[in-house]
Amino acid sequence: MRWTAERVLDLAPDPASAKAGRSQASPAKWPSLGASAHAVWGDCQGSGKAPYQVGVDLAEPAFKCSCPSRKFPCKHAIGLLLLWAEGAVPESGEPEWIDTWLARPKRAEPTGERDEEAAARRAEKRASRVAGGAAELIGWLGDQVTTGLAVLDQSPDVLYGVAARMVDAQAPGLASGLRRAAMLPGRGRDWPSRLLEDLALLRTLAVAYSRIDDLPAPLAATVRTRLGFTVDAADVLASGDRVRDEWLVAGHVDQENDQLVSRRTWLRGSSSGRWALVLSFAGPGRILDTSLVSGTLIPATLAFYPGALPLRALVADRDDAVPAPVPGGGTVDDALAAFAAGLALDPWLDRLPVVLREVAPVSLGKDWGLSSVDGSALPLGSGVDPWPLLAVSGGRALTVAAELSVSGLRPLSCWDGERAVRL
Amino acid sequence: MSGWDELVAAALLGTRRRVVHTEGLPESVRALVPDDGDSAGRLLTAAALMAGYRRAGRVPETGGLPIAEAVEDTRPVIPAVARRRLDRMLTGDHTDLLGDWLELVRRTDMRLPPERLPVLAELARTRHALRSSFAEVAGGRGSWLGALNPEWTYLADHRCDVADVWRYGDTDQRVRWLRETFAADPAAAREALARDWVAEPAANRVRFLRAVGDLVGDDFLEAALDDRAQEVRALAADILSGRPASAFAARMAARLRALVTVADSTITVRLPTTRDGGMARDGVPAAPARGGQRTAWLRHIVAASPLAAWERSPAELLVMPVQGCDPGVLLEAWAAAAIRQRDVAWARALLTTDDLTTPETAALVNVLPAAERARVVAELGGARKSADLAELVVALPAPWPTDLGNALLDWLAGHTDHRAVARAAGVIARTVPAECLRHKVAVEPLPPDAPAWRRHLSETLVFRREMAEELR
Repeated sequence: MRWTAERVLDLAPDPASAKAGRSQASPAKWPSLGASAHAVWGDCQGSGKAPYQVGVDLAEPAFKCSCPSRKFPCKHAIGLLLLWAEGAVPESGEPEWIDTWLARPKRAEPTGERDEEAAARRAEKRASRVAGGAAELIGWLGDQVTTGLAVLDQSPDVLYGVAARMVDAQAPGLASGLRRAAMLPGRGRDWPSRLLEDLALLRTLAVAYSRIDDLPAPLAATVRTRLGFTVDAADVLASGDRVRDEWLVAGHVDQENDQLVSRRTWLRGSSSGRWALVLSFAGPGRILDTSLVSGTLIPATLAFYPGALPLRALVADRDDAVPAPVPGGGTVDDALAAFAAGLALDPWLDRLPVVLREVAPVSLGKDWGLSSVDGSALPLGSGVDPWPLLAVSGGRALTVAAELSVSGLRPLSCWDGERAVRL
Repeated sequence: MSGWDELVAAALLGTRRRVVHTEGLPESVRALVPDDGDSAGRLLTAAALMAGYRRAGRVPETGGLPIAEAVEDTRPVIPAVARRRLDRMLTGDHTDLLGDWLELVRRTDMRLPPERLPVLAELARTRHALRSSFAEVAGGRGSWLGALNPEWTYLADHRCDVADVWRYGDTDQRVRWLRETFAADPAAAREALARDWVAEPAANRVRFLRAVGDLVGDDFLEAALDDRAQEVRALAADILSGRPASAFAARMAARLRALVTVADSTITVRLPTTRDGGMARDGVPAAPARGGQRTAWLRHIVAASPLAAWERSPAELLVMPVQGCDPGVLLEAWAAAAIRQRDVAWARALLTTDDLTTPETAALVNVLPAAERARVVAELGGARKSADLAELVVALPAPWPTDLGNALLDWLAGHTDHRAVARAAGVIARTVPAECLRHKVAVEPLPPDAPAWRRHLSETLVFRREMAEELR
């Protein structure tokens, strides 16, 4: 399946690269070109004497170019893919250098038995470190509440200090929870209330780990995930719960943390009604997965990660996307009920996707919100730019896919008539 | 105090100082809080339970105020290729062509993707040149957004034909109303302007006169010569200088005749000795910008007099020797008069002389009929240095006729590398009319060693051609 130009341009690390890539998308610059089902390649005549050798492995995707650019992918790779997207690259057999490159080891080879032993030892060591971290956090929180949280207004930095110790204890979930809590003191009149909620739930997570062996397996998996233990993708693909459906891509949110960009894409099964979260990460020099285009319908089998409220999933196999009709959805009350049901399974649930049907923008004092016809409304979350959604609505009711969190709604997509609009 | 507030208060102060009361908590929560253990642990357990209780029991907000609905817009959205091009321009690719792109959208019967209206509104807020075309293309949805967001009020009431705009609008809106009403209902516009003129602050009078000075009657301008504000008086005199049939022009012609005699193929000039009250009223400035005061008065009088008052052809006059002042003074003043009065014969004749400045040349070229401009510029291109022509091109007012566009592209095609033309190439690429976008510089492959400006030229022309094709 050829990609669209749009998908190619999404790969560009920045607008300048996209522009430079377009300038390379002229067949005259490519003395030789070829494409197979797995790869696209060519020689690009740059400013130097020898042409650059460019290859794209479509599976990952991965890029290879002999140019000195540190942009990734470089303009040559983008230009090559744009030509391919236009249909300007002829099908041909893979040359040897592409064949060798495609055959490179992509992941570490499966480990032998001795490595398994080593892995078990590492896992045990980590478990005891996390347990130590959890115990330390429980003790520290007890001290804070004994002496009073009011001092954190003056010195929220101590929370960062404890977060750093949780990193050392290999419990990144506790660390990030503390960092989020550190931003609360002094913010808004109800900060003590929000801080107490956050810290109390974080403590519950630490307590849950101390008795993880007594928990039902799905809940234990949720606790481990929230603490930051990872599950091997290969295990999920091998033994995760599999669901075949036509999945609506409801929208995605990109987040940047330090140097890591992460994208969470929400899918909803057309017949199962089940929600799935597909995460994609990109470190420096890597690109995010762009294969799930908002507003399309993708026939696919998803493999779910374990958990009490299993949302996260991997795409095990998929077919080409097809255009999607405007999806069905519920009211604001339905969304709140879904959130409550989710909390019953996972008390640390911070956000849940919803599709709201027939909701109109309303003004809620300082904030904007979305309201069902019966007048039940939810505010848009802090930091959400309300204007694109408002502009599409024109004040009228429409269908909106959003993430519902404690702070409110973050719209992901909406429908302008039949057209899906990414917000 | 509710059960939750009690917990928050105890946590803030510390359990060492404040006893934890759980009596106020909901029954179902209290049942799960252990009775024993340290009070901090009990408090945190209760708080975690309450967090879940509060989150799961969240009730919707009520009493939201609906927003007035925008007028329905049933036109189709521009096609996906055009939407992608818009996104490219919004991320810095040929953003300078956004105005042309909006103009292309305006000519179709399609609407902009509404989700992009906010980012465009924000852009046009700081780039005034985009405002009017954006406001028009954004249509009813744009005015609706303008009414909701105070930053975008320039979008509100666009093309509103309610006369209240004139009374209550801000100055931008009133200027727009005035211009549009002069086109649609000149009598109503004149009446509104005449009625409120005296009461307007000077800054507004200047803006109105700038906007519609060419459309008001001679009498109105004659009255404005007696305005309280110097800037209004000078502007009125300036506009009247472009009207050779006015009473103002007759007064200037009389002054000219008193100072100048043309006889025996010689122009004899006498510099004015004083600036009387009549001259002052007709805008002859007291303090000269440069040169002697009396020369400045003469230059001003010649530039403001009807060219017909010379009673000779420009070709004759331009070769005559001048006595009594520097011939350059007359040339400069004639050029100013030809530009103001849009006198084609004079413009043609002046363009054959070598002593004009580049802005004068550009303005005079613009006086010529469209069909003649290309030939004149091509001739200038042969005669002048590249740098001079490049400067001229930058000053040529748009829109350009097709053959002018082609002539300039031909001229650029002849340059393999010349730094001086780079800036002109940018202006030419943006300004040539749509008919020129298939010129050979945009179609033929670039030589491998083409300089950056040359590549940018073809890229821009191709970009413009593609965006026009997408919005056909």
